[in-house]
Amino acid sequence: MMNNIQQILEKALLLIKNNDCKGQINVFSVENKNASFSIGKLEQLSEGEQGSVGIKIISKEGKIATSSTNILSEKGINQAVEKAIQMVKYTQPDEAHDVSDEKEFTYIDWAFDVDTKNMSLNEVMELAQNLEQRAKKSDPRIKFVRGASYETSLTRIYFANTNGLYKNALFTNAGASISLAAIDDQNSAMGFDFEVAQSARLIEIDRIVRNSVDLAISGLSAEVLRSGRYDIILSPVAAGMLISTLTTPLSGENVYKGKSFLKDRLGEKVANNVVNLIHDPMDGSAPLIASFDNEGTNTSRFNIIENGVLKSYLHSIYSANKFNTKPTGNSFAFADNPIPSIGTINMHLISNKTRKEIMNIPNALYVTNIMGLHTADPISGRFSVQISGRVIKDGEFVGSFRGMTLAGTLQELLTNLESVGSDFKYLGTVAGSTTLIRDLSVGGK
Amino acid sequence: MELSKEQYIEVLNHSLSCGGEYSEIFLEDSYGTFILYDNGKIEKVNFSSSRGASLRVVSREETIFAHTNEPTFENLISLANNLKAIASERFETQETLKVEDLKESEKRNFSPFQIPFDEVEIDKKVEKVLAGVNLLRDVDSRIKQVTISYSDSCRKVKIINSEGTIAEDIRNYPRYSVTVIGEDEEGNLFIGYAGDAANEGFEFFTEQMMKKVVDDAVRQVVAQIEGEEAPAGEFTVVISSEAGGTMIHEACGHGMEADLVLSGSVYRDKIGQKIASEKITVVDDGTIMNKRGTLNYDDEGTPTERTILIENGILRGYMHSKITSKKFSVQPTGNGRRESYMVLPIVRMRNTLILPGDDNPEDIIKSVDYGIFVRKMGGGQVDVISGDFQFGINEGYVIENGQITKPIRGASLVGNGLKVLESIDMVGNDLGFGVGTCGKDGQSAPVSDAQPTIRIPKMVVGGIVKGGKE
Repeated sequence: MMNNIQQILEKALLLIKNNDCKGQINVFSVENKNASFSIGKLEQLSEGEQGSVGIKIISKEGKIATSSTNILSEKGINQAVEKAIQMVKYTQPDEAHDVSDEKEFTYIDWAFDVDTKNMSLNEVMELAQNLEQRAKKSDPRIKFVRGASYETSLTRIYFANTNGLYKNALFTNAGASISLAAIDDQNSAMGFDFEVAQSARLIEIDRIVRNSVDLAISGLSAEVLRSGRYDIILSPVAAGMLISTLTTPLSGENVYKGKSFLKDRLGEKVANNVVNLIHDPMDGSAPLIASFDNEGTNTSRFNIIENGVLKSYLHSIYSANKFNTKPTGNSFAFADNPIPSIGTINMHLISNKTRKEIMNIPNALYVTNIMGLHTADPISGRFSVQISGRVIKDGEFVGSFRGMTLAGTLQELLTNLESVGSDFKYLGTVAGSTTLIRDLSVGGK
Repeated sequence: MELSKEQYIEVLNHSLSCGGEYSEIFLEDSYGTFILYDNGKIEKVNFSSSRGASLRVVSREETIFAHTNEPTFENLISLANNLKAIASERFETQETLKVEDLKESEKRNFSPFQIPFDEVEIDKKVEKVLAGVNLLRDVDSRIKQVTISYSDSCRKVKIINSEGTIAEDIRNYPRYSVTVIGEDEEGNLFIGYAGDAANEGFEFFTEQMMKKVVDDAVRQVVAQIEGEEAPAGEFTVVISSEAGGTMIHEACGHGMEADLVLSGSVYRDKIGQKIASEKITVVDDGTIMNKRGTLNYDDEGTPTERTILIENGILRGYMHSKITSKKFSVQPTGNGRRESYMVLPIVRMRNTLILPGDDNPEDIIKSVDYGIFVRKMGGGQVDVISGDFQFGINEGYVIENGQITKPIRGASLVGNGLKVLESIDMVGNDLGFGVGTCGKDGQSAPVSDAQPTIRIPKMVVGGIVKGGKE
């Protein structure tokens, strides 16, 4: 990785300015160590560095072009800038495009854990092996463990634009995940779990083993129940998955283009009174923390839905200009895709109950896995997905179900949402906790 | 990124000098253009490029791996040094393998192309997008928004391994997609989406292809606007040959990837057994001319082939990479693919299809008293351990007394791979392809799939239940 990054970016930005354009550049550099075990064998042990550069330029007429490259040299970056300059004439102008002028910058030093950074490849390998072995030993019905893996990474982000902004971040992450199969006679069921955190200290191998094994073993006796309307309790992971599907309809750009069921709903009631959805990118417990987004806008904690009322969309500079409001700091990019688009870091609901209180219910389906959520339609809000999980009667698990469908609209989920637990599972972009939603349509026999 | 043969040999031998049975250099150079028309204008253009190399060393089912984005000889030697150090601790060295010579694999040509993307000016690409916009003009007043995307990417790969082979492949991935958003009288929004893709040059973007994609998207949104809520519960389902192949991809494709078989897939230990109706033959074919999943060589340098998975209902074999084929003591099938040089190859599908049968597609529809007709499938997902899978219906209709009647709104179908394969009781004499991008273990891969019109007597439809609570 180049150590004179700031000068290289300054030169590239000068090239943009000399072509009568505004522009911004994001540079990502990720060093990671990864080990994965499968069926007792080291499936993968790797150490590598990944880099990417994302460039956006805006002509004086308001035309934009973007380019990206993984070549982190002065030459590589300048070539990508030139490519963007060549292409900018092909888009149509829009005055709402701009670059940030927020020069104020808070450098965060608490998302970096030196012990996680210094973990050796051997330590990473031992943790992955430990995860696999513990899972395998935990129950004789666990016959296969696929991909027990452990990973650490160190990420550096540099942002600069033609208004003279220069912001940077340095943080560590650790993550562990497992997928396994329980087999008993003719029945087989999958279990999985994962954790991601800023520091390896926060990853609990035992908890991952327990959760994944419970899921697989309980799935062995699963059956298809009758079609009907059921009260649904989502596990923290399932709730997190559902919350993340709200990102697209909440995107200011989609709302501006009329591509969201939440268009024209600002200030209106869109959810049950207990629903408080917040964007919380500086939460110290979350695995990802950002003090600025990838347009250089400083992030903040704000309410998206407050007591059931839609208070804000998620804005980039472009969409904020369209709505004549301030950007909310929701334009994010990542090493895999260094061109920013509207997204979240640690969006979650505010808890109003404990998990114990929520689970103490006469009848409900506890959903632990949702398949096909990527087929949900963010524009109409309609979704139809497969669910599996456990049957609750009088506060106790009394059986399991699988191969059933859950269908409805995201609007209906928000309206029927009644309780949110405090047992947060952090997924990075969102966090989920045990969540009760009443009266939903479930297809089965 | 070209090094000399001697330099490749030196890197391979260096990486194997502290143990290992197999070593491989993977080189990649790729670029692509993306153009988006949205909100009434050309809104985005993006160009991306990347290059890099990786090195892996395998010893007795264990793999060590490293990559760099500057594939110079010095950097590859430095990666080899790192791997050597790990190998010396991890691998039990008996004798060291030495590569003496490298031979170039024969040229294969299952993905011929005429016009490389980098020889086409951006304005010619923009024209293709605007042509789609023109086709959509005044087509239906209920359509409020149009999004059209053009994308092309070219991926050149070179694999040099300790078996002494050098294999090269160029994959050109054009893709064209259309999304239309319609509104009904009450202001409810609906979406129609269609796309096409291949492994071919810029000549892929024909008027005819674009017209078909546009027509498909419009028909879908109209069916959604005019449709009723789908029912929930078990119904007879007919899936059209036009629907694409998501069902076969999810229901049996993934479960027959040998790495997932080794992890407990529902198809484990069943080779030679009857697992499907005898009307069913399923193949995964990497050699169909210019299809999106077609490769000349896979990302391990293995030549691709037509792999028979199920023959007349009997499970014949699985899809393999080099590593899994060794565990099963069979030949690799050319299914080892990787998203980029930064990741290890895993077993992936290419073009997966149910071969046509004998039934007339019209007779299949006529045979159903009450059921669901799926004209277009959307994305899907599977749990390979239980075999349960799900896929979305992008365009579906009700069948009543052997006739296709009213359209239904966004529903999904849920089933179990083994049960569905056993129960398919009519197989049409037609065949239609669909394209997609398959995700597995965080890696995406371009694929296609195909099937004839088929009838499944009983599947769970994920529609809406009205009325009282359970």
